[in-house]
Amino acid sequence: MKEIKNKDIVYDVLKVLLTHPQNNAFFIEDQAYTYGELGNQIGAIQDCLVRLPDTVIGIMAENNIQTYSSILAVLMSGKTYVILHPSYPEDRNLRIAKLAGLQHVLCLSTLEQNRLGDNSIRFIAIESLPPLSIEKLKYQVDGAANAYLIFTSGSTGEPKGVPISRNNLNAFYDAYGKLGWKLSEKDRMLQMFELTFDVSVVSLLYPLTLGACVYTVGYKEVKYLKVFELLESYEITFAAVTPSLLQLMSPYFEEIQLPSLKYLIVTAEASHKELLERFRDSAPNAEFVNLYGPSEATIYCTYYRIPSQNCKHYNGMIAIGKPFDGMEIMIVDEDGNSLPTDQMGELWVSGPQVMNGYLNDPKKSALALIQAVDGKTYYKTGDLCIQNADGDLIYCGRKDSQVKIQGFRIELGEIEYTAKHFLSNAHNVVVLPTTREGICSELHLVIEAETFDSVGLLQFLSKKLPKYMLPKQVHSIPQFPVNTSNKIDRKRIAQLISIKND
Amino acid sequence: MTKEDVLIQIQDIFKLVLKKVDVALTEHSTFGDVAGWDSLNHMIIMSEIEKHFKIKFNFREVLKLKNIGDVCNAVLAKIE
Repeated sequence: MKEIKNKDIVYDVLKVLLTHPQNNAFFIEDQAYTYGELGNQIGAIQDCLVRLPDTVIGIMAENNIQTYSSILAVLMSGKTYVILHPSYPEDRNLRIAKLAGLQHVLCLSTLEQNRLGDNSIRFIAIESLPPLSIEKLKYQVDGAANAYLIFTSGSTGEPKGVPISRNNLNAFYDAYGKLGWKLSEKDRMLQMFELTFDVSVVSLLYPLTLGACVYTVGYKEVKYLKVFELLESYEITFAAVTPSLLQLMSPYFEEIQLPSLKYLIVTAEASHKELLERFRDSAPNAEFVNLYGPSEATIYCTYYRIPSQNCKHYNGMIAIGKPFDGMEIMIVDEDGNSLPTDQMGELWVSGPQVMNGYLNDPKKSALALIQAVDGKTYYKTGDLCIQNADGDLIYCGRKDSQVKIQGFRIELGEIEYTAKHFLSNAHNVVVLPTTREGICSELHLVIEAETFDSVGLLQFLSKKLPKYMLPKQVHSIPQFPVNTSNKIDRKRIAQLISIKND
Repeated sequence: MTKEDVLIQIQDIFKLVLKKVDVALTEHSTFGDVAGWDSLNHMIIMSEIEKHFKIKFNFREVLKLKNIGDVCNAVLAKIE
């Protein structure tokens, strides 16, 4: 195997596959798979892929060793992978396949969804490929070539393709490694994210660079229960989870003890300090870290080690901390002028982790990527932040969660924070604005609870907030829906309470 | 109360939560077998079952409930 000098995540996985064949690489649905077995699967798929002229390969995401081998085989063959999801509507998979220009999709022959649209896309059944050693695998790729395409939901309903190059991914890998994790081949690490969501990339690949074992959660399981079952039964040492998942488990915190957990990563949405404070006793030996980043800047690009006391926050939302090595940030006003310390503005990020532009979409790319006065290209995150005197970024909510009613600027997070305070942080809360002819007209407060004191809550809010911030209506639903990325699904909540915008 | 009685009552809870009339559960039904039975509805269904039978499951008990038969047995053990 030809030596690659620069930091390269795929090359590092390949080295482990060759040097640690006896180690367990994956633990999937109560079955362990060694690096040796994983390597033989990868060899078979890679041998098939190199015969195809395609540069982009689709993978139908299942929770099995073939799916994970497919991801690695595509990366090792120098091609780009795109995840399709068996539980997505065929129409959405088809749109993604067309946008990505897919000709071939790797899948299990047993999958029911082994067709897409007019059958112009060919399916390759992975189980039919005989195992093949990776010892002769030639790994050499162009850094500018894409590693994967992630599709995020676009505001127009058409999925937006985010191409992440090998250079982006390796810049991320280099910076992520510098966070100083004390991890080794002996660690047991959780991967609970849907493969259509980019946090899965690091949850999957990073442990394999160490020779550690990845414990996976399938999409057909009750996710929050399975995660905690794995954490407890297999003494998982590293887990990245969404705050929503912790919230679902919060009624059971007192019964949960995870002394083996060394790191708890919270990611993908704003983390509330009270929730994590309540979880501390369940994971007494774990360091809690908040990792933040948009897909466009490759998985994560800032980190904050959450102290057990005096955690920095804004309206209860935990700080996102400092930029990754190599990344630069700016906080800007609405005209793109850089703002001084302690002033709130939009967070822009720049550096080797930032994508070159959306897939085949120069218009959206031009809106999202901007050349600043320093001559560098920044990605406009749409997130509001403050940078404090210590250089820590304090997350203040989405730019679009800031609304104006009768000229007053309102941050929905502030109302949510105040309501949560009244409810002793026992319930999730969202505030949803309704619009009339494009103008925000009123606010609806939604509580994740079956019963609560709505009169008392409104009285409390009226004492704490100006009149223009008071919600017109208070609703309750027993459980907030979450999307496939395990984030609270505000759109679905709006549907559930029948808010109509026109 | 027999296991069959518990199953029928649980089936009614499913119909109510999933807003469907055609839910047909067996002891072997598992998460994913019934359309609409997702993580979110699972939490709601479990909470409705607890309220209906006036029982409470702890975390370890919840983990052991792998199919509807397990739920029926756990309910029976609690109400006896």
